[in-house]
Amino acid sequence: MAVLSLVARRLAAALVLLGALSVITYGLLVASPGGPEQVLLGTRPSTPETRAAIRAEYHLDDPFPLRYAHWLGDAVHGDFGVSIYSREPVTDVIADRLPVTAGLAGYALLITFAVGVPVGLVAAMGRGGLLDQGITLGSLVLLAVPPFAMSILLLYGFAVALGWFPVFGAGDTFMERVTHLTLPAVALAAAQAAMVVRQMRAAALDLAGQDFLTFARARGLPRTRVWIGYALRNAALPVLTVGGLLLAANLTGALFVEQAFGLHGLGALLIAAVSQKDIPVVQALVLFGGAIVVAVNLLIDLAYLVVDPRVRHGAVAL
Amino acid sequence: MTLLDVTGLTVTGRHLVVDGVDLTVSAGETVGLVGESGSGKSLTARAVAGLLPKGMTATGSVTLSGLRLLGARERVLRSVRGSRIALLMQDPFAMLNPLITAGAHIAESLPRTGPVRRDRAWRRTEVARRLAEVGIDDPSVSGRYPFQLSGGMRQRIALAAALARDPELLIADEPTTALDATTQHEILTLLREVQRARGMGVLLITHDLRVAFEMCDRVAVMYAGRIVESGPGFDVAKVPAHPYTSGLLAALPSATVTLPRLEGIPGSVPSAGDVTGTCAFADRCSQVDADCGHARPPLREITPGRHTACLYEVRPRPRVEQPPAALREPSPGAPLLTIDDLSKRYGEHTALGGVSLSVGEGESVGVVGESGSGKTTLARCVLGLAVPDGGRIELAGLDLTRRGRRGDRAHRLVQCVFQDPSTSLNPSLTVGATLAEAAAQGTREGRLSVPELLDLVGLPASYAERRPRALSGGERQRVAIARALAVRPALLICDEPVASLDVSVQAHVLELLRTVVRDLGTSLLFITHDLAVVRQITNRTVVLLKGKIVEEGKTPQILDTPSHPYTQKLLASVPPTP
Repeated sequence: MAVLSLVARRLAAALVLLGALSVITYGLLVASPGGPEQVLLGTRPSTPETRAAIRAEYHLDDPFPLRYAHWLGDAVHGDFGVSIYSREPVTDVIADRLPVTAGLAGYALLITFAVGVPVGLVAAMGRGGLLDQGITLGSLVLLAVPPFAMSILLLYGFAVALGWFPVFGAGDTFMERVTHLTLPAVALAAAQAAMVVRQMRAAALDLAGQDFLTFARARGLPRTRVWIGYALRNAALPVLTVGGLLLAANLTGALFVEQAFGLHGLGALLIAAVSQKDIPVVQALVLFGGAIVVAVNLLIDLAYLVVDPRVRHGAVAL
Repeated sequence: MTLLDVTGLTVTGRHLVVDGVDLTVSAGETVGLVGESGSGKSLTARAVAGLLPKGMTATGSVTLSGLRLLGARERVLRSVRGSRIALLMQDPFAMLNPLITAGAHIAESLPRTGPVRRDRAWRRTEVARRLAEVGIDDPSVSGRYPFQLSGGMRQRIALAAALARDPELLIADEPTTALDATTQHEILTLLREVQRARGMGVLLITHDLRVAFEMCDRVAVMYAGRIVESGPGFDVAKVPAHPYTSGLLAALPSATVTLPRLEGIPGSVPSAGDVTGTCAFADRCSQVDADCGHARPPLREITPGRHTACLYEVRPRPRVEQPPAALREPSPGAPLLTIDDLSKRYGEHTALGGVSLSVGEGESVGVVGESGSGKTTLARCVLGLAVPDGGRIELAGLDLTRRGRRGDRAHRLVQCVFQDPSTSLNPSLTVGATLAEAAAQGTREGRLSVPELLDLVGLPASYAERRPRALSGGERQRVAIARALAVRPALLICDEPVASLDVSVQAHVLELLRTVVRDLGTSLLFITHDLAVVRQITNRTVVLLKGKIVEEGKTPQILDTPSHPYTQKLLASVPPTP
């Protein structure tokens, strides 16, 4: 019961959030310089006929709520209109770019966790030792280097000097895609892994002092059981939260890395759309980004439900 | 047959904490390791199980039936833990993994190899059998999570998990300290039953002499990292052979008699590292002489099986024969505090279900109950920290129930001493600043100065310069009392003021409270779970159960001839005072 009501509450909240976001997004068009007409015309010649055509196509003569309802109805069906720049449907433009960014984000997240969680645990186990200090220092350095600088360093080191990885593009087959995306993913993951290391280390240190961990050891439980069933599972919740937020950030904000590696992803698309005043594309991207953040948060909440019985049974508020 | 043999165990962290402890536990025997906080008893237990916190090292020798444990590899220790030595810890709320069920705790602890096939069905029946052993017959408990169980239930689950691999030795570190009196009694009884049925050796670590004497065949008393006395429990209780033990026994409050004077042990426990070359107790001992400071007195045998680290025979303590009129009788008159039909709910839970009571001018009233009885909610309502749902609170003619109550006046009338002095004092303010700040809330005339307040609670004026961190637990609680009395309140509420203090300190603080409120004429509303304490300090007692008063009357009458079954049960679970 508690679970159902929690999920229902979260879903309702997500819908409200997306609704508010869509109003603001649609407002972008109205508030754009020169008015919607001018923007939607783009580079086409401005004659009374074309302007009338635009007004009719986009229902610009209707009152705002009605226009918004029209637009929202189309958006819900996946129709965000046509890109002013390329004249292709916005949905196609985005679908074209999404695989690169999604691959990059997923890959980066994978690296972040594969490195961050064990390294954080190791640091916590050897608390105060040389290794811990080294890890702490290393993560500080990684946090301090901006992703684009990291991209350039990696490009120079591994692609130009060593020639291990391609310099440019995203590749076509799956294996090519992986090799092409490795350096960008590392560049993106470096600072994030550092963040997860710090988070994991703090969570594990917090756990190390807990009686239940000592009690587990006192019962002679195997080491794997103590570390995975006890330490890792209890430390998972705060780390999960960070991971989700990182995923959302990767999907929408990997633009520096995409630029540095010449990847045609969503970040590059957003920059181009903004500079070309391609409002329909911007609208779709903003709404898409918002939906991603909302969806990821919803997933984190569900993960809490799975991992923590106290949340599942409504004993503690989420 | 000796099961556990500890010789010359020394534990060092940043300082020396355990200094040369010798201890044996035989199969089927219960040995008590008794000591106040900081005596090193818990670390002794941890060292035996090889589970010392990081940064601490142990030297000496620990063997289990001849197998060397101290200095053994972690792999050896892991094979011993659980299967041969089990450790039960203090806090049932922190000992279980919050993410897995009670049954999973037991199942994961079960032996992993054996003659029978270890399948799911086997595990299920085995878990049920283990639950039954610790007195849980309801099979559904196995599927519940720790947060869904009470403290007593959790401690039972923990015990079942600790015993799942049938160890020969159980080390129980304060297994009942965090529990209510009646639950404590149940768990101790259970522990004894299980110990007898299994013929297991038990090392029981406790700060409570009464528990140790009730439970143990032999008792060892620890002080400042070393054992100062050991022997059969009965003998130690009857004829203590070390002045420290004798002092502890004298400091124990009793639920059966009102003592004319409660005597703690003067001074405080030294650090083990500071007293390596002398008798650790010399500075606080009433019969100290020159020899005590020269060398460390060895643990000498007085009679077979009976050892003391005192050079002399312990002189019997002088019994102060005073008329038992130590408690003042309140003058009859209009009551100072009247509570009428007070109720308070938190969601589904009824904390107070219509409580009525009164406290007279200069009277001391005890509120007794277990956790969840509503006693703290009652205090919070009177203090204005919680808003009651219904009923009326009137203090010296001032209606405290109404929302827009005159805060200043109310705060001058009623003050509180909380349970834990280490968190109730602002750590960044000096004692002097804390007291001055409190006194400034009172009226100008008759305002007490900081030295006067410190003198009132028996602390030297120089303490005004110190911060709470530099004080011992007892001293902090004295400061908290001085702070509460700074505005000269008509009513002082004490919420478990001695529950977190050691016995010897507890006696000091209780005696202080007794004299101070007598001298100042302050009324007292004293909230406690401890019947022995309530006997020493109150004129009248009310017994709370689930937010309702089940019995009230004069304290001696209630404790001598309880009429309600719940009061009787509470009394029966108090371990007898030796």
